[in-house]
Amino acid sequence: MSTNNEIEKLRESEERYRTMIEMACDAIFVVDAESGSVCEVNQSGLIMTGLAIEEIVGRPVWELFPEDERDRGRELFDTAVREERGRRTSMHFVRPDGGRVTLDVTTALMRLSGRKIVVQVCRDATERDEFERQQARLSQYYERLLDSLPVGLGIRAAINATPKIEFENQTLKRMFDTAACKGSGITWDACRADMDEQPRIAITDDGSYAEERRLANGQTFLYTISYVRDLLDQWCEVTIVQDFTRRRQLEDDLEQVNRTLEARVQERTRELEEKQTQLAQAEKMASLGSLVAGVAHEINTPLGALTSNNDLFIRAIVRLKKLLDTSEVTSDAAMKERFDRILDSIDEVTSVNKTAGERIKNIVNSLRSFARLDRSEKDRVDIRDGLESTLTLVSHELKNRVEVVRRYGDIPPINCFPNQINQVFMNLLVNASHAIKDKGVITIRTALEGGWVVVEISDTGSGIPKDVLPKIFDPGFTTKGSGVGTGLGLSIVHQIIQDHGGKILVTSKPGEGTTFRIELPAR
Amino acid sequence: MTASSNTDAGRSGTIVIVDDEEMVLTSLRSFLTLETDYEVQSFLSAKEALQYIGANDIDVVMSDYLMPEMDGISFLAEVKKIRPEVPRIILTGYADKENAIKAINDVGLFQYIEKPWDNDDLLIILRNGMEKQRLMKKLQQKIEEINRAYGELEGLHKEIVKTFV
Ligand SMILES: Nc1ncnc2c1ncn2[C@@H]1O[C@H](COP(=O)(O)OP(=O)(O)O)[C@@H](O)[C@H]1O
Ligand SMILES: [Mg+2]
Repeated sequence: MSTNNEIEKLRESEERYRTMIEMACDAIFVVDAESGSVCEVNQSGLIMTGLAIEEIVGRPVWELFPEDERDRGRELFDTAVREERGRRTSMHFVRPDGGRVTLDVTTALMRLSGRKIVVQVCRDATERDEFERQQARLSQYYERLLDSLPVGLGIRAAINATPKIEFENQTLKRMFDTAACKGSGITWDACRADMDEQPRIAITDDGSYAEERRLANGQTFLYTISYVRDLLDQWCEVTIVQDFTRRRQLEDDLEQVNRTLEARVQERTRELEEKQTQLAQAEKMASLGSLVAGVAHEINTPLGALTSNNDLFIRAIVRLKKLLDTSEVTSDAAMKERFDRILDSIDEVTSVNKTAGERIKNIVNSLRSFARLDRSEKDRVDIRDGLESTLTLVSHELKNRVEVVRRYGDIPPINCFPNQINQVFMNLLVNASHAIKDKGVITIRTALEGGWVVVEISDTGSGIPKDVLPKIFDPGFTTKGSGVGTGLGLSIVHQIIQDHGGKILVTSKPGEGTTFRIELPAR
Repeated sequence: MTASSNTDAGRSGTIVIVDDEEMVLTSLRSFLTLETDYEVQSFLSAKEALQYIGANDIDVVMSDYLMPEMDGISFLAEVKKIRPEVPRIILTGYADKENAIKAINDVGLFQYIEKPWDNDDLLIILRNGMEKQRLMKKLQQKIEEINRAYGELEGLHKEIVKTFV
């Protein structure tokens, strides 16, 4: 029973095995390991070879291959027998219709009921090859697609401590294949160290982040970095790099333009302020002009009465003296002396009155010529006259404290606005006087030097420190306390001299004094 | 009047002075009274002065420039209408030569004097004014004489014609 059973089992297993072989799509050849001749072949084998079973069985298995492959077929068989293990290779094969195909051939040594056999399984690889070719074409297509992207694309495996570059497209390679980058050894994935400034970073909505990297060589790149899982489900870092050099350049240029614009606006504003200052000053001068005119009138009338009356006194005393000489009242010597003393003291004060009257007249005249009621008129004047009338006006400030030395050289009259030029002298003289704390000297020099009328006003005052010197012509700049200085004096001087086509120069030694030099065109 | 002490005896005449300031009038009047034989008529108001000038014989007029009711230039222009032969002098405290000179040409002024004035200058100007006025008067007399003589001659001529024709 048991034997029967076993035989039955064996029969069943063989049946199953046979069915399996028959059913297989691959061509299967069972080969005797001793002789190499085919013992069995399945249906697929018959179809593949296009031969009848009798034509195959008994033939050496390698003879199934075309002649040029027979040696390899033999070798394959020999190796299978020798190595006793499976081996797989690709072989050429000529189909019954003459078509040449590639076969995937697997050989393995087996023992079947104590007999050694080699099973050779052949599978038509055409389809697989085609699939693989297509696969390759597809990946080539994608690669080209990625290469042709206008942005650099790089992929790194992100988990490692030193991320390995998995992919970089051509654009990315080209971007960093420049002399500038190569020269400094910069690569796309390691250019942080060479960065010129902190990167500008922005996290985008989709979780990637963008970072602008500006290299020391001036190139700027925009990195957009995101993390994705690759086919093996591992995190990798996908970096898109855009060359922002030009754009950054444009932005910088724009910024530069903005800055220049802003500077220009500031410049204009300053000019406007200057003009306003001048205008305010002109207005001040105009109202000063009418004020002076009124004052001159108001003073001259009573002054006329005073000087005339004083003159009358002088004349009257002369007459009185003559009268007394012929009168018997003074025949008495003592009496005559008393009369003389009274008359002499009157003489003395009337002469003082006369001087005082002349002084007042002078001041009023200076004030008048300083304010120049005909202020809008250009005139040919000797500016030394202007210096003199200005000096009269500031004399109260200089008196006893400051000595004025005049070194007037010959100068021709020049065409100018006399009131404005006088104001220049006024401002310079007042400044000089202010600079002299105790006692000192103001020297005024005039000269004709090669087509220029030169006026130099020097003082032995405090001088101007080097760091202050560039600022003194700025409107509003003053080192005098508020309420004392307005800081407008020199800016007006500068403007007036400029309007006259002239120049103004300063030289100063702190502790020793200052010289302002004005040059006005002589013609 | 201290006519005996006058150094300019024989040159007397009448001067009209107008100024809105009493002190100026007093000063001028005192000075001229001391130094000259002129008869000085002084007025604070230009209108009153005009009335006087219309009714009296005068030789020189001197007026202030700036005055409240009527300015010196208008006043002197009026004087010119009444007595064109009288020299007119403006006294100005305004110290505006250009305006004054313009006025001299417009109104035909004889002279202008700036305040504060110099008494010697004032005397010379007044004397010259008087002299001018005197010569003008003389000229006028001569013209009248000639006119009269001519009239007589003409009358004679008519009579002769009448007699012979
Ligand atoms: N002769 C000078 N000596 C020394 N410092 C001077 C002299 N002139 C001008 N300065 C300096 O220049 C500044 C500006 O002068 P200015 O424009 O006239 O204004 P202010 O006199 O109102 O200060 C003065 O405050 C002073 O510091
Ligand atoms: Mg100053």
